Amino acid sequence: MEFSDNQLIEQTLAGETDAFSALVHRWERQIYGLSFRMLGRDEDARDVCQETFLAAFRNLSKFRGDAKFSSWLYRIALNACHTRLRKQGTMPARSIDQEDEDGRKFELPDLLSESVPDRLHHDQRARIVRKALQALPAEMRQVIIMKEYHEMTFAEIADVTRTPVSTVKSRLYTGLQQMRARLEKQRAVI
Amino acid sequence: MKHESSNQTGKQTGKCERHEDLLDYLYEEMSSQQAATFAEHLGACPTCTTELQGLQRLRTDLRAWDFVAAPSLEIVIPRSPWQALKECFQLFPLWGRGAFALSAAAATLLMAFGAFSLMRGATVSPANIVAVPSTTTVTQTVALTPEIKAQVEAQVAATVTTTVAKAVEQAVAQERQSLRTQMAAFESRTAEQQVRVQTVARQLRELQTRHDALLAEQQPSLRRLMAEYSDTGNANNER
Repeated sequence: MEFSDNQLIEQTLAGETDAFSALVHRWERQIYGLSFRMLGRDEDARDVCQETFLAAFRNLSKFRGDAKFSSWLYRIALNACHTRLRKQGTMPARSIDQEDEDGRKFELPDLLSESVPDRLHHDQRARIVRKALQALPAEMRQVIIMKEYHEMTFAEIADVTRTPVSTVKSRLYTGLQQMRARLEKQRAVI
Repeated sequence: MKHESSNQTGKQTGKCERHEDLLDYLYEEMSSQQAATFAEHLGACPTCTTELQGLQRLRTDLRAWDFVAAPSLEIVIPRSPWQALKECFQLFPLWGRGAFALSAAAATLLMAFGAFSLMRGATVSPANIVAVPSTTTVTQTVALTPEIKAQVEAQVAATVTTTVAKAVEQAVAQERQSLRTQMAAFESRTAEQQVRVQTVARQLRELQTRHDALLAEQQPSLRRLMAEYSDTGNANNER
């Protein structure tokens, strides 16, 4: 029998710490994925994950059951990402290429059936996509990430970002167009 | 969802501004009727068709940056002192917890009994204390008739039994709850593993297809090389 998020929250509030561990296990992959794509570094993504779940645990009693737990969690994670990005903004920017060591180890494993040229081609393609995505403003980037990699609906994204659906669509469209323009230039490379 | 110009299906020659509809169509967030209407529009609007193709290509590119799994994270949730104590208590086996509860109950009763005896001692009137030697006073204070003693013993036994039963019941309930939670976590993990396996299987299939395509692509040049090799061999033999 699998407990729903709300059941696990109730159990946690009743003092069952294991119930919260189950919630963490259920959502850590998504939160890590979101943070990693937002920030581009494994270390930062791990920190954001830790901060997100800690904040969720501390404020669990404030969570209103009428909203989805995942939306609430995504919102906390995005806030943490934005805080970190603001801090990074005051520091010298790092090149995405220098961060490939962090990123690559969590990408597709080197499958036996994949030849070396295929693997290189895939890596190169992933790097170009990553650069294009990182070059976007955070508001556009987060919408693209939630839509493309987390398969959220426009309404869900609007709920997480607390913006109207029309704003979500507008940001998504502009972001996709900017990425497209950038990638079209490099189409020959991809 | 509002579609500002969903009835526009005519041929578009200039700039078409149906971005929202285009996104709804691209991400399949339209009703089938709206999708059919927009598909009709696409047939007549080269701007939207080009846009759609470009966005579909972009989505394929975006999928290149994928990773199968996140590294295993260690999220440390701080425990309150009460929780830590409770978890420490749960580490003991059931009999240990029962014994602890029994000892605690016995100690409590002993203290209550001691307090009760002291109170009884305190109720003795000062006149008695003065009239009777101190040793006699003590004897009078703690001495119990066999009936009262039997009554107290029965009460103590009943209280201890109830307390122990409650403690055991509570421990069993906690054990059950913990097992249920662990089971749920295990099931959730199994489901995730299945999804991962399916993802890897899908990727393997895709890779196999790409591999086959590459092989098919390379086959003419391989044949040519084989033919060249064969020709060279024949020429050498003739020589």
